Amino acid sequence: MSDERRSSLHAALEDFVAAAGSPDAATLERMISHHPQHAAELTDFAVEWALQEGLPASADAGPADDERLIAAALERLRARLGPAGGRPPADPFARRSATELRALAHRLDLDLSLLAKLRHRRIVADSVPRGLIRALAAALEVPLAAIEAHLAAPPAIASDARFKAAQKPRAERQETFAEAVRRSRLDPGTRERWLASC
Amino acid sequence: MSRSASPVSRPAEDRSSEQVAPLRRRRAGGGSLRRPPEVEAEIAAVLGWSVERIVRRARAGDAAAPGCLSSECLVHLIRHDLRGGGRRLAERLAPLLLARCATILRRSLRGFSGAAREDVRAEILGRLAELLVAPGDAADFFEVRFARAFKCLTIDVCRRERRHLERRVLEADLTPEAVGREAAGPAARRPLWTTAPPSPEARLALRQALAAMSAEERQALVLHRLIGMSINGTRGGPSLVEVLGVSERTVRNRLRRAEAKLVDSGGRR
Repeated sequence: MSDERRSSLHAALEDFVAAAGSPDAATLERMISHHPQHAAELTDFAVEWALQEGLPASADAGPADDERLIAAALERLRARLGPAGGRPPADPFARRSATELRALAHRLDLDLSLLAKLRHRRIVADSVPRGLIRALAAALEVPLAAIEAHLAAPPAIASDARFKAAQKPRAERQETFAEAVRRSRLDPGTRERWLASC
Repeated sequence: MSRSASPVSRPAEDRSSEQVAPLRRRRAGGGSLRRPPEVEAEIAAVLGWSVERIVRRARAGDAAAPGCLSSECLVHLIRHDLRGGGRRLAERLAPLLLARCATILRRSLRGFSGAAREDVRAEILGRLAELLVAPGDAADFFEVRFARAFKCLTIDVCRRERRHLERRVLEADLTPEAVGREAAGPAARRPLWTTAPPSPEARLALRQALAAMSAEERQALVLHRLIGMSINGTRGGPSLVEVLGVSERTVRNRLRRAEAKLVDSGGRR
């Protein structure tokens, strides 16, 4: 079956289910007249629908197997998506001057310390509002995935921590976006607005 | 970098209410599919949230629980994330959506038993996962009426699986000893029909009758007896003659043979 035919059949079957709560002869006829090229499949579908409505439920297998089935389905999803980026993400902030970063922070309603924490991945990626991630991607003119990958990478070690340290430098503990906002110097109104998005 | 052009430099109440892209799938009667207003509002409200907050709300019980994000909304968020080149939110939400669906299937799947039922459940969940990733409008209906779209997917997979099993069922050993062996061990993988009538004998009889019918006989029987389609259109609606594209005599022969098999097995309902 070609992709086009498969897609058209998929739409025809969904039309059928959208049009009726249960299979009936009149709706089947109407669907066949709308999609004559799928008459056989629609009829077959109506038969299966009637069986699904008419037969008693199968014995419940219990939730134990759900995890295995879900894992298998996710494998299929990932197979379609292809591999996640293998190389470490490039820093999307890299070629921005200090002036540009200050303007960016202003534009996004952040202060410089918050922007720096985002840049150096001191903030837990999943706690950052999606609206901010999209706005960052748009402002920096990079794909959304580049910002996501950057934020999700391990925290960066501050460049000045590499020198004159008695011990091997370690990245600071990550904080949530909400914690970072509370510690920021944003005005109370802006802070409240960000906290409402977290 | 003008401040007014910023997508986030708006008042907080607007910050989360971003534009929700319209659906592209055309309806049979013309026009595009449209999400219900409450789904649109829900999506608009959560688009700007953090992944953590969305996941927390998606986890809050099943889709019907108050405060829990609807499945329509989850489908949109997954597709929206992937279309935008992201994966992070999609990878967190997809398992939650699939878990909801696995629960639905445990309650609603009918007519399959044992290993065949697990195969069908796996195929339904796998197909759903692929639809979420598919480009184009293939999953649009899931953002409009998730329950119906999922039902459609379920029936379609069952239909294909049943057709596939028919050949094997006809060759299967349906003696009481063989069925007893199947019931005793989960390792047995012979696909058989399940109807769960009151007694094991009646169950076996109905399974034997359905298995003994040809696909054409079973199709005619279900259309006539369960869907209520007339043989020759005398009731005014569509008829088996029209729908199946065969003569009235052929339809009557198929029905007679199917019903005879039901009677022979004691499975008449």
